[in-house]
Amino acid sequence: MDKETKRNIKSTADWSSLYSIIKELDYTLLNTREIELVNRQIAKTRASSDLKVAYLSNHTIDTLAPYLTVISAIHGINIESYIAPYDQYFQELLSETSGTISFQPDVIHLDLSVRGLAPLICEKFLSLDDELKLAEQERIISLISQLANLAIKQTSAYLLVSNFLQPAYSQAGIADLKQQQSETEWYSRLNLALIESLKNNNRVFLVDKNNALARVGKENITDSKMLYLAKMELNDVGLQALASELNRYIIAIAGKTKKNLVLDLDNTLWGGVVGEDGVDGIKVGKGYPEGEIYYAFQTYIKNLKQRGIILTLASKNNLEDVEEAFEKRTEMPLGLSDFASRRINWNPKHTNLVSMAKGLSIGIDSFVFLDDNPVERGLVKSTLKEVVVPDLPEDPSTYLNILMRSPYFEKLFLTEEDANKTEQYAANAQREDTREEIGDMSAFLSSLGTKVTIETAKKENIQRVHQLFSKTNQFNVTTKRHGVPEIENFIENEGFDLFSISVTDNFGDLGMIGVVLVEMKDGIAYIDSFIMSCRAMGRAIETVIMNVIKERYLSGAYAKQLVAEYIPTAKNVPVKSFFDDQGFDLVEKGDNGNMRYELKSKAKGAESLECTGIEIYVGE
Amino acid sequence: MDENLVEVVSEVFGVDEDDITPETSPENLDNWDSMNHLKLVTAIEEEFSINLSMDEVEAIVDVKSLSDIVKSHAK
Repeated sequence: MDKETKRNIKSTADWSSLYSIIKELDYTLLNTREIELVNRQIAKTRASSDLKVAYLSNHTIDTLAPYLTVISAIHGINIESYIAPYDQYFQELLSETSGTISFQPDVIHLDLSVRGLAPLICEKFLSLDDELKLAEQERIISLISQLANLAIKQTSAYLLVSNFLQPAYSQAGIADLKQQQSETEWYSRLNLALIESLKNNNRVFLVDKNNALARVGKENITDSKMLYLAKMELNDVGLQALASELNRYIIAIAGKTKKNLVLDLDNTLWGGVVGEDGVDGIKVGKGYPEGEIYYAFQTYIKNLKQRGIILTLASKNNLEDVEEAFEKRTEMPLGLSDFASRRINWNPKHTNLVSMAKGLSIGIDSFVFLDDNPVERGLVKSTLKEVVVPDLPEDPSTYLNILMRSPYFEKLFLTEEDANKTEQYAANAQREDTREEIGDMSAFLSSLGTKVTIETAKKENIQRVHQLFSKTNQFNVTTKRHGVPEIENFIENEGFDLFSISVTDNFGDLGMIGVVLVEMKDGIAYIDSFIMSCRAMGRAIETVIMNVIKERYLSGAYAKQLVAEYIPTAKNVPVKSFFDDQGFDLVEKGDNGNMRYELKSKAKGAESLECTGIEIYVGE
Repeated sequence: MDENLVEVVSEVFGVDEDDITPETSPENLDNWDSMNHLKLVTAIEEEFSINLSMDEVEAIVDVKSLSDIVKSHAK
């Protein structure tokens, strides 16, 4: 970091001006004191944080917090930290008045080392009898389960548990793997048992620290001097590797996961320029070095699609050339149908990106743009500041590493919906085409053959429900970002009704596209949240759902009155008049634009023609 | 005193360079606690591409002793 950048950072007065500088930094190049400097400035300029993170450990990990704070800040997330006293993890979770509990963390990171938990394993593995080795393993697993249960009970935080670092060298040397109970197996089994014991808890996530540190090399992550001086098990290399792994979880928890990967074609998805080298001249496929590079890159991108990332194309080319390339070069892992939206023309790319965002109904701030051409990248960067534009080096064989290291596409869970996301968005585009053909709105809607199912949300769907709460911006009347713990409560607590809405039509299965949360209190049903994915908008589905809600809550059995609220945000303008349209009476208008509505009679409401042709199933 | 050294010390402890003197020590600088002492060692090692021994780490009692240790590595 040069002197001027340092000076600029030090002179920032608020978070947004600090962020505008640090978002350009490559955190892998920052040394300890630059991390300290930025970390200090983040604390100094903080008005409010996005996430509160508490650290619990049995080794000295104080210096991890600045690393994670800075790396997450570079990704736009402002973290406030609390570091529990060394080795006090149990007391910190147990006592109602501990620092951790009173900090009210959103995330707790628990990082324990075998050195602290079972020193015998680290010192005398060779002379321990097998029974004791197994007993130690069971003791550690049961301790962690106990700690996880405590954290769940005592806080509403997500718990991130580091797994255990297998030492760089075994005590028995290469003969370890011939031992009856080898050290290698001991660590592998321990980590395996951890995965199994934590997998089914929706608020507890295992962090593969052993693998994250192996990426940078186990011989590089400890400074022995610091270990003996201060029980500091990780040096700056190790801290950076662990923090950047934790940052992946932070991005997902903070809801900053990107939705759309925009790709260039020539020299990005294949080698060469199709317009010049011809369909047969572009390089991609197995059997020759340059082809392998792009084959591997496309294969990884295809996997991203499986993970629910929408793929799109922005390429300056003749459409016929591109169509021919995808048609003829069938050895390519990606096909044209893998892209939900395509802008193959000679317009500036930033214009294409804006129109693409509109067509897909997703925010441009959820775009990542990959292009080999630095001029194109620079243009997009300077015109669309919200778009993430990773720098690609000259050598295409390293593109894949850049994409793998990028944390932007991390999700806490993968759902069935994810695998079909591009198809769903592509089908939307197809529906748009049909709309143009048919012209008449109600004829168009009936032609879709829409079937809507509304039912009580089930526990097994909690991951998708959470996704809808955390990621829906447009059709969201209150934008309350309920987390997994709250959602669990809504499902279990009789005072709440949480409905999930799924849709299918002639073009395909849209999956679960909406949730409605109703809280019942003193004969009044409050609509806490009414959320619909943007891909289901503009089809009168919301009216059909609202009719079901009215039927249920105004017929007297559950409530006598419906109360609803609209809380404006920068993005939920599409639902500004939603309650007016649905026949609700506006009773209060707040200074901040909040609007409060009531409805006492179900007779009043939108008898919309648009609802014709939609079949509705009300499940339990 | 070496300018780079003063800069490192000031950045690690988050104080102005003008406030750093050879006599600056854990006794008269609140931020110089045991954790920051270790951060200082790491930062010095990074800046001057040297490796301090454990004895040296413990022998740093003020900025002057730190400066002497760094100088001894330069030879």
